[in-house]
Amino acid sequence: MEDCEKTESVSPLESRNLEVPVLEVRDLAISYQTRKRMVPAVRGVNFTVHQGETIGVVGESGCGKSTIAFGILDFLGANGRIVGGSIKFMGKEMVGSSKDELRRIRGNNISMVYQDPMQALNPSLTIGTQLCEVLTAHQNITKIQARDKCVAMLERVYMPDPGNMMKRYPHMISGGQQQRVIIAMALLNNPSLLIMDEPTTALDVTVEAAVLELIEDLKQDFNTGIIFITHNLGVVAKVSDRLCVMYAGEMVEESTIKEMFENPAHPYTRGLLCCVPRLGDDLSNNRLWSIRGRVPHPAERSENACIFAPRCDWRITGQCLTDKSLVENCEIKHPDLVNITGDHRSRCFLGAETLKTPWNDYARGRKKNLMHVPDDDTDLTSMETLLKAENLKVYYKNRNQSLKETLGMGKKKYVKAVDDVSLKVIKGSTVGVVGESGCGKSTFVKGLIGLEPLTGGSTQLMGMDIGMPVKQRSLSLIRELQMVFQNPDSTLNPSYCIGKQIARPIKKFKTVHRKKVRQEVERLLRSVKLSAYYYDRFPRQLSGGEKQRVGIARALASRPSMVIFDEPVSALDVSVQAAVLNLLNEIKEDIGSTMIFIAHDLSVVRFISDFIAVMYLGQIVEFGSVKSIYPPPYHPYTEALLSAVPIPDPQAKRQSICLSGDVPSAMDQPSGCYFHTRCPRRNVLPENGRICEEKAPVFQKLKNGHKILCHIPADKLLEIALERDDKRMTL
Amino acid sequence: MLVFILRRFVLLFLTMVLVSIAVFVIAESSPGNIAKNVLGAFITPEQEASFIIQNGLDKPMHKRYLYWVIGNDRIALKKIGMPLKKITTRKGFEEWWAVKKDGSLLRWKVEKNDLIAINRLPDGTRKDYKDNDRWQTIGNGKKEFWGVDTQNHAVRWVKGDTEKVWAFVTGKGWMESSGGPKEYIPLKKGIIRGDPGISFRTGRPVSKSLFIRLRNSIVLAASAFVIVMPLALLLGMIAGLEEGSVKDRVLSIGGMMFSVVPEFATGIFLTLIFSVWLDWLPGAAVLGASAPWEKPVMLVLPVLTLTLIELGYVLRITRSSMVEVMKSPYIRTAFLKGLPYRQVIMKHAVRNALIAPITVIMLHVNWLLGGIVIVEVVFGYPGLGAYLLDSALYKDFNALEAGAMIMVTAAVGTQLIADIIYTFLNPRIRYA
Amino acid sequence: MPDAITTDSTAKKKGRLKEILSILLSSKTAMVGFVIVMFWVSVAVFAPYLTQYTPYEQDWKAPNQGPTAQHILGTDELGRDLWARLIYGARVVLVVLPVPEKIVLPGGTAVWGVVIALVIGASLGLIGGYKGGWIDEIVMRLLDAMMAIPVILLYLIIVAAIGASAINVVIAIAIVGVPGIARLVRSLTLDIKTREYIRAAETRGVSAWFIMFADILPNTRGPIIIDAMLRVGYAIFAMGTLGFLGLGMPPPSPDWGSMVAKGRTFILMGSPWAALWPSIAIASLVVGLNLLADGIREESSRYR
Repeated sequence: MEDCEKTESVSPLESRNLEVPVLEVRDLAISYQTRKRMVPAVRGVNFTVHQGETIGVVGESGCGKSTIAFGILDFLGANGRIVGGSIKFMGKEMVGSSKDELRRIRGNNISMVYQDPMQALNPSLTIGTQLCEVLTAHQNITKIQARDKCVAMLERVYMPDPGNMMKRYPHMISGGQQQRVIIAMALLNNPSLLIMDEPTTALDVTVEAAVLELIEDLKQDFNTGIIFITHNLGVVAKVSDRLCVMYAGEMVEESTIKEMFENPAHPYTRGLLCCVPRLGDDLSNNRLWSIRGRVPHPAERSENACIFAPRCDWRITGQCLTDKSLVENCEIKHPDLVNITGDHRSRCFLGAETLKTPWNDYARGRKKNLMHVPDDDTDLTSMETLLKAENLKVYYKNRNQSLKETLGMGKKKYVKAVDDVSLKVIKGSTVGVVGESGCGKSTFVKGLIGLEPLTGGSTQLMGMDIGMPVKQRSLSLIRELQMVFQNPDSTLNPSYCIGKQIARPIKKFKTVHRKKVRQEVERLLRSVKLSAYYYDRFPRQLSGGEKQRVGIARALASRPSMVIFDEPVSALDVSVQAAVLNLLNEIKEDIGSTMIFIAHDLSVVRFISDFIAVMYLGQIVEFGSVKSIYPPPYHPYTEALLSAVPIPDPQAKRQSICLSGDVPSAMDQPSGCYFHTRCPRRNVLPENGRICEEKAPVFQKLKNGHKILCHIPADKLLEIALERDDKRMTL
Repeated sequence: MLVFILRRFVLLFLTMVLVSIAVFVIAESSPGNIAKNVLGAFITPEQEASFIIQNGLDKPMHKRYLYWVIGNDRIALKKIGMPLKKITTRKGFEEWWAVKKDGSLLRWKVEKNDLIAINRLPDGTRKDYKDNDRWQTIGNGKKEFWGVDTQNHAVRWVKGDTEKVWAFVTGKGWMESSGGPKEYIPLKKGIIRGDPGISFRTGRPVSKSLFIRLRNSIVLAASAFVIVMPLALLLGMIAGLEEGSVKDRVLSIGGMMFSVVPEFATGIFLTLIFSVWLDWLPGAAVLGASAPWEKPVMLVLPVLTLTLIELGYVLRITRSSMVEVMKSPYIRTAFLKGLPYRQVIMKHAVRNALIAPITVIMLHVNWLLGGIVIVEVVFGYPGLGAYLLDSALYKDFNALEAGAMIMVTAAVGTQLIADIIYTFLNPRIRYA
Repeated sequence: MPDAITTDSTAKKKGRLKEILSILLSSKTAMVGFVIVMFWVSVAVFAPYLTQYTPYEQDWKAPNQGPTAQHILGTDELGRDLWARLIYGARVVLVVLPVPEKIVLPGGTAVWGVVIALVIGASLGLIGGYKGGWIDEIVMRLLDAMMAIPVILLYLIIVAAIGASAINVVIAIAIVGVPGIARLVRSLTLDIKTREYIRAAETRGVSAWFIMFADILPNTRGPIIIDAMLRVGYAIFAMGTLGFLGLGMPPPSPDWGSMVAKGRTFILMGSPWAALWPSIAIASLVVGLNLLADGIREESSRYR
């Protein structure tokens, strides 16, 4: 309550003083009732939304972003309650207003867009019904009028065939389309405030880019105030005007988007900005900034200390600080949100002191030795191959058969998850495999490791055939190829302690003498930066990052010559992700192991890989060393992917290449080039790229082992990419 | 969708086949046991052998199963060479006869070396005559004849070489006779053609007594079902709307208590309360020859017992489904659209909350059927359940198996209905 | 979590015990259930010390009595003490299993039936769920068929075919319990099978049996324990029903169900005690087990 007066004294911009802000949140505090006591989830949140303004709210998981969103609408569930502060909507107090008043505001004046569009739509009602009721509930309007308005709105969000769409059920349309329906639903009543709760998190990069484009477009038309909640700094940089940073339920910093990215003041904000790998980083960089420790659990948050103190390097190492007395109070007093420059507030005792050190000047790491491929070596023949896959195919039988198929008539259909993939992995290198969901990257590695039977093609590891399922492989072969998985919560068996789980492969493959197993486990734990006492812990006592480290230790236990990483960091918060990525780079340097690294995030693979393979619909469409993939020429799909990556830099306002339509089903791929249905570049070929529909392309082999699967000549691809003049991409 | 329903249909048919095999195998796996169970432990080995051969229990299992399911009159027809006909006498007994060319009916018996034909004329009168012309010569000078005997078997007699027969006739006890044949085929049409055989207990065809019992049970089950379903679904939804509220706790714990107490205990409690202490209702359902709807007061306690038991179960399933739906993001969406509470519940929650439990609830018809057995025993209600128990206690296998198949058909049938309803309620399958 | 570091295994066990206790204490439902169940268990264990009568002693002078000083719950139609019969009946259900040749196994009829069903059902569920394909198809079709038979009917047929004795009742309970447990374990297995630690084990070439019984089975224990509690309750229910129908323990064993069946005829003659007490006993024990299971389930789901 103390900081109340202080924030009151902050004057918003002059021009804005005149109009009533759409939303004014002051000292908002929300708590949840647990069995023992009230646990505060959010406290000390202050921000104002004006008409036509977008406020970004960023923070890692568990920091209370969504709680704010639902708090504004007073929809906190049975055990959540607003325990302090005020929420003024159009000058009217919302806290304590009656249920009926709330109901009239919800969906009418304030509406919301959700993270998971599939879950947010009622599966048993048509889209039309669900749209129309928003209108009929709040306006006196006939059903036919409502229907017409809904169709118009669907058209406005660029839905194909809106009239027909109204009769469909949610499961019949794609994820991107579902999100468009939700956005249309939110805008139907022309609300003054739109709350978007991670609207693009569940979507693929290219779909995300399209949805963000749509939001930008709608912002100009509707002049709505928007609260945009996300964990992705790139997304927020693209859409917001102002930015609030949340940490452990508190707002730690707030300012305009430009100021925040140019002069971040709070140590946490600085950490967040530094710990993500960027497309523009120097390729030789192999360390990321990472924030130590983890976000404290709501029940462990101190009332009278800075909640970030245990993780703050300014306090702990005193780094860059001339006056050490500034951090004396960190552990005994709770800091207030203070003005540091005109329109910039930070919850830190250091105040503007941090601004003296440029934020992007953190020491970011050592030199990485990039693999060098000779110019004329198009097939990487001059290098030592560890793993080779040739014409690999993995097909599944179609599960949802039609009546005809059940009766044995008609052709049997196959899902071609991996369709004719050839790949070489050079010893000691890391190959990044990228692609959107459903492109077959996971199936590909499952085929390599023997969890999925191969339909065709061959695979070899160190010259030995590994084309058989894992059960038929010899022990010595199995131990050479190990895997690290995506989801930290399911990667460890909850029934056994950490030590036993790491010891199992050691015992099975007999890497050390029986009596030395415990020593070996402790050595492995140390190698992933965990102390020996983790041996007796159970998975539920570990945080996500720690579990992922144990998963890595377990994979390394058999001392494999090659490790496959299946999206090992995509489920982690950015600060934790950085530490795991650093660890991987260290392991690479120390052991020199070979890796395949699967990811959907192009900046992450860029940071970790020597070679990159881009996959689309079960095929590799482009392959090359990291030096040759990121600058042009690109495969048109790679180009679209790269352009869609949200860049955490508000200055880099650039147009993404939007791919039209949805990813075709892997059951009946398009004829010719699989990408032709969505390719934005085929028009450079004669007859609008008729050849793309008719003939499957072959790889164009360029310098340094770079290969592109496209009909368009590489020179032409280079030319059109340079025409786009995307500064970042031509690095 | 069609594929889905078709697949369910095939699966349920398969289930029926498997169930019938299971019922048959469990009940008839050891013929010796059947004989002992039916005739008592003190029969002589000869009597047991005679019983086994007369009832076709000496045949291999798979053959017996086929006869039981689709009947054996066609096989017998081939051997006898005359059409066969089943008639029912005025006393309610069933008789198999061979049909003579003039339309009158024929059965045979063997006395000494003579084949005696029993001729039943269309007006019901009988006439015996010697019919030795029908003996057919087989190898080494012997003569044999395939015909129908007086105990409804197709049999093979050999001239001058007959066996001793023991027959247990209801009301008379053990009868010993000579002139027995070499081979028996106990004639039946098979269960899928509506003939489950003759009851060991009454000597009458099982199907006759089953019909009335079945009718009585259906009245009981249907009354309970009609009361339980709407009530339980409604209460379940009310409980599930506000998880953890007082309403919810009372309803769900109350429902649980009623549903887990055995039916006979509930029955005893209710009898004590309503007929002993309050003296409002009769403690036993004495129907006599009248149909249950003619004495509705007799139905009250049995129906109430069944209702209490089933109510709790369906209520709890519906509740948990409702709780889950109320937590789902699309209900959140509906609330945040600003829809009125009523509309959110009626339009968005109810339908989805009903889809999930409908199959589970219909599966529970099994329990309702099981409960009927107990309730009928507790209140002495003359239904299928009580009939089944009596059959089981008397080891009247034909009756037990027939009753069991009826119950199973009912159970499997409701499952199919549930599947079809489910398909129509769930657009994900309807438009798959 | 600095305080959570305990390497001593006994301390760990204590921790788990504490957790269970805290669940019991924090849920009123579970506590009530626990008290009821413990009452019957202790009464059954100490039955010989809790009454001066044996369940077979007949008192010709005092048949069909209500509660008196000599017979605290009254007597049945043969003058046998109802309290003695009641607690010896609990013994058969919960504590001892009389095998024909005068051998008595610890663990009651209901408990044994459920344990046997658990072993068979869990194995079938694990194999079907993990292996999938035609093995799963066959196992599930067979179990579906068994589930399609109304339970009481299945009991009737089984007991009619194999006769009535304690062992046969155990067999019947086990057979009837198998499909339900197999289905539960199968659905849990299908879920756990997709977890990445299973894939990790597969990539190490671990045998299917080891994965099923060492990796999957331990993680199904929570739901299985709760289900087993409910099933013991249901087995008691079923035993009572069988006894009531005259298909349970052969007389004169103190079987709750048959006590009710015998006493039932005297209700309308004005002495309801012989039927009432065992009815209450069965009802309370089953309700108690259900309360306990429900309370624990609710409380542990709230923990997550």
